Amino acid sequence: MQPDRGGLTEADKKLAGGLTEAEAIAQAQTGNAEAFEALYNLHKRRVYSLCLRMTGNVTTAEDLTQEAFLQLFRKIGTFRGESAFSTWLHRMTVNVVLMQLRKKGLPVVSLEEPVDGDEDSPKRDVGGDDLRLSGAIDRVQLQRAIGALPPGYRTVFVLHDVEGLEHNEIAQQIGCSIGNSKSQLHKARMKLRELLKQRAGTAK
Amino acid sequence: MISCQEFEQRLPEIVDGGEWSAEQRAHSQTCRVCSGLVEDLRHIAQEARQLAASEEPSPRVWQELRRSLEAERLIRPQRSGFFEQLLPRWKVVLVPLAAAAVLAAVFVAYRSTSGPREVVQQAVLPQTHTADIIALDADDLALLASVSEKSPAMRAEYEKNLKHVNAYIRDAKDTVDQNPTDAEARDQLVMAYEQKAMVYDMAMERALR
Repeated sequence: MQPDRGGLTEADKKLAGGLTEAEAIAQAQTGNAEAFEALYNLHKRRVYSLCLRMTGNVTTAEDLTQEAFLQLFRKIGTFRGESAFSTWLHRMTVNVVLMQLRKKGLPVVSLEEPVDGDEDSPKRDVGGDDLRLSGAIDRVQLQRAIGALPPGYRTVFVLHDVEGLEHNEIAQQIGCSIGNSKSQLHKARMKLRELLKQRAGTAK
Repeated sequence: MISCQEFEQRLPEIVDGGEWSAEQRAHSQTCRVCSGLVEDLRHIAQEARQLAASEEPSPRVWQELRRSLEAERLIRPQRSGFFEQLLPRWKVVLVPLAAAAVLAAVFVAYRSTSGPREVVQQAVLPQTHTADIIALDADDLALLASVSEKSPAMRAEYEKNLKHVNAYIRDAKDTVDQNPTDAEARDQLVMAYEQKAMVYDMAMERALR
């Protein structure tokens, strides 16, 4: 059984009316509307946050959130508990988002190595006063910086660092190699560091 | 001694908790740039994890989702306003009636093989249910007994569903009796029986697992 990476404790999984997640799933399988709503409320933030980070657009993210839950609820009758429900939902959400990105012709993963190999080299920082990101990273700034990433970098960064997927899982869902996933992640982090430092420098 | 470029080539593994080689460790202890880079990248990864589940969708998402679920009959529609949502499609009244009757007959035949256990099941129904038993017929009670046997926690939910659908059938029958030529009233009765057949179907699937 896959571990639940939903970050939900057992207390969190107690839904409205004292139902557990397992009970809500069972009741949803009989068509109970309140059970569906309870499951939606339990997982909506994670699903929506994932859609928003990967698309950068509120309306698109809401549409994809709706689509992900609709696909899940259509198949809820087949859920047998072999894996965590949230893992199942998460995988479905990633698929929905990736299909949307592919439909729009956006690159899911950049397969080309960037020509500007020196851009990310630490050498550029030699002699600079602020070699380090000073202080705590402002979460709003980080969100904006993620939104400014190229789509391919953003996809891998969100799936790995925000959502906690392993490279083999990312590679399987996106259809790239593990090495490519690692490479994209590294470049995404380097780019984010650069963006955050630029914004910190502008703020000063 | 390795260069900063060589150090950076293995950076992804180091940032994610991989093993440092002796050369890398030596380099990071002497190179402020590279050691700072490692810390920054780790910090970004750690902060990113806090962003999961940090946003909330607007209420319209659930509203539209619910409408889709009702349209696809994945959830039971509410009594009020339900009739207005019916598709004006004619269905033979007897087909779902027959389906519900067949399912009930199959279920009773299944239960009859369990012998004395069935009697015991009915005998242990709590007395507080007596007044409500009027809304449930013998087949419904037998179905609930079987559900109790396999999934005690679900009995209350199925009982509620059966009373609800029986009330729906009763009301739909009254409407047809008062308006025998009303096609929409007949549609409603058809759907009421279909719902009851669905409840039996789900309960039997659970009981036969």
